[in-house]
Amino acid sequence: MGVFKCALCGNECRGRRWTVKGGKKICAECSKKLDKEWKYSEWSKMSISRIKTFFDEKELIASHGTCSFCGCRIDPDSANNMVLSDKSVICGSCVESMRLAKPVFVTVEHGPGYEYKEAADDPMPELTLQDVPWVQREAAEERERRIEKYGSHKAVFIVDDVTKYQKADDAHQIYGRVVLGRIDKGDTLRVRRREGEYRKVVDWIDPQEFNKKARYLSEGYEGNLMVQGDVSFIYPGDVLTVEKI
Amino acid sequence: MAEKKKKRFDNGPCPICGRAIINLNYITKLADGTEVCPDCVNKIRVMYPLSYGRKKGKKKTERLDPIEALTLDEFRAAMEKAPEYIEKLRAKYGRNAVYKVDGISMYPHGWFHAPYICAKGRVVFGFFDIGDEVEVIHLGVPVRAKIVDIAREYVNEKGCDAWFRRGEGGYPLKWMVFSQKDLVISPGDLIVKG
Repeated sequence: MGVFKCALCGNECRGRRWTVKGGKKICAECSKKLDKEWKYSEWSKMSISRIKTFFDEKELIASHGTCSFCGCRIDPDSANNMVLSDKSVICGSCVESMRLAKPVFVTVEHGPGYEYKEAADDPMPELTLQDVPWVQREAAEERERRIEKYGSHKAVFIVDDVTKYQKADDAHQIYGRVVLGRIDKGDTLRVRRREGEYRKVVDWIDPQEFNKKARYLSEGYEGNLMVQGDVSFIYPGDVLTVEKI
Repeated sequence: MAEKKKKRFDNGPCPICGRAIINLNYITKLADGTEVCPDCVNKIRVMYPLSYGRKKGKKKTERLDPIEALTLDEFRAAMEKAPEYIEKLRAKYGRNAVYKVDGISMYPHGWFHAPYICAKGRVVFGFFDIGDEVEVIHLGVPVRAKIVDIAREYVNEKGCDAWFRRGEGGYPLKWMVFSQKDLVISPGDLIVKG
C-alpha cells in the first residue's frame, strides 16, 4: 500500500483508503469522523467541498459557544444551529422562531444515476445578524394571524395525504405540515367531526429528507406522522390540533 | 471548481400553499393559466370528481377535469368549502369512505378458489387501500369483504397510462378486486368503509 494525500485532512497517509465523489481519497481516521455524521452510503456520494463546508461550519459553531442573537449556550452537536452569511451563529430556537417568515422551498433534482433526489433551498443562511430581529417580527405577525384563524393550540397540523404504511400492519402515515406550534412523539391529535371528536396518538415522526435528524416537527416544516389503527375519518385538508397539557 | 447545478423538476411555488409544483406528474392548469400543486388539487377533488372520456370529435381517451375550468379565486373559495362538503357526504352515507360501483367483470382464480370480482367505479370520498376490510352493500344487505387489489386510472402528461394502487376521493378506479365465496356485487352497489 502506497502513500496518498487525504483530501479532507491534507496529511500523507498509508493503509486503507475510501473514496468520495470525484475519486478523492479519504484516510481511515477521517472516514471514522464522517461515519459519526452520515452513513457510508451518504457521504461516499458527497463532494469534498460540501464535506469541508460542513466541518468548517461545525468548528465555527463550537468556537462561538453561544448564540450571537439571544446569547444562550449552543449545543454543537445539534442539527438546528445555523451559520449566517456574516459568519455569526444562531441557535435552533432562534431558527425555529423565524421559520414561518422564511420557509424552506423543497423540490426534486437529479440524484446519482437516474434517481430523483429531494433538494431543499433554505433562505435563512443568506440573512445577516442585523436581519434577524425584523424576520422574527414578521414571523410573529404571521403566527398571530394563524392563531386568529385556527385558535390557540399546542400545535396545528394540516393534512395533505393519508397512506397505509407498508412496513407495518395497521399503521398509517399522515402527511402534511405544521402551521403552528410543534408536534412531538406521543402527542394526541384531535379532529372534530359532526358526531364528535376523534383522537389519535402519534407513534413516531418521519420528517423530510433535509430535516432527517429532527425528533419533532415544528412550525413551517412538513413530515409524516405515524399512527396506529384506523384513520379513515381523516381526509386531505383536515385541520388536526394538539392541545396544551 | 464550483459544483455543477443539477436539473430541478419544479415549476416554481404553488400560489395557494407556496410549496414547489413538482412537474414529474400531471399538473393541473386552471382556466386563468395558473398552475396549482397536486396536494391542493386533492383537497377539493371530492367536489370536482375526475373522469376519463372522449371529447367531441376526438378518438383518444382524455382526462375530463372540471377543476381546469375554475379560476384561482374560485379554487380558493372551493378549498374553504371542501371540509363542509365532506361533512355533508359523511352525514348522508353515515360512513368514512364510500365507493360507487359502475361495472363488474369476473375472472377465474383457479381450482377451489372463488373467482376474482373486479368492480369498476369511482371513490365518492375517503380512502381505500389494498387489504382494507370493507362492506359491500348489495340490495341493502351489507356483506364483509377484503380488498385484494386496487388500480387507479391515471394518464400522465406524455399520455401514458400509469396506475396508482389505491383509491382516493373523487378519482375513478379501473378496478377494486375481491375474491370471496358468496359475494355478489352489481352495478349501482356501494362499497363502504369505517
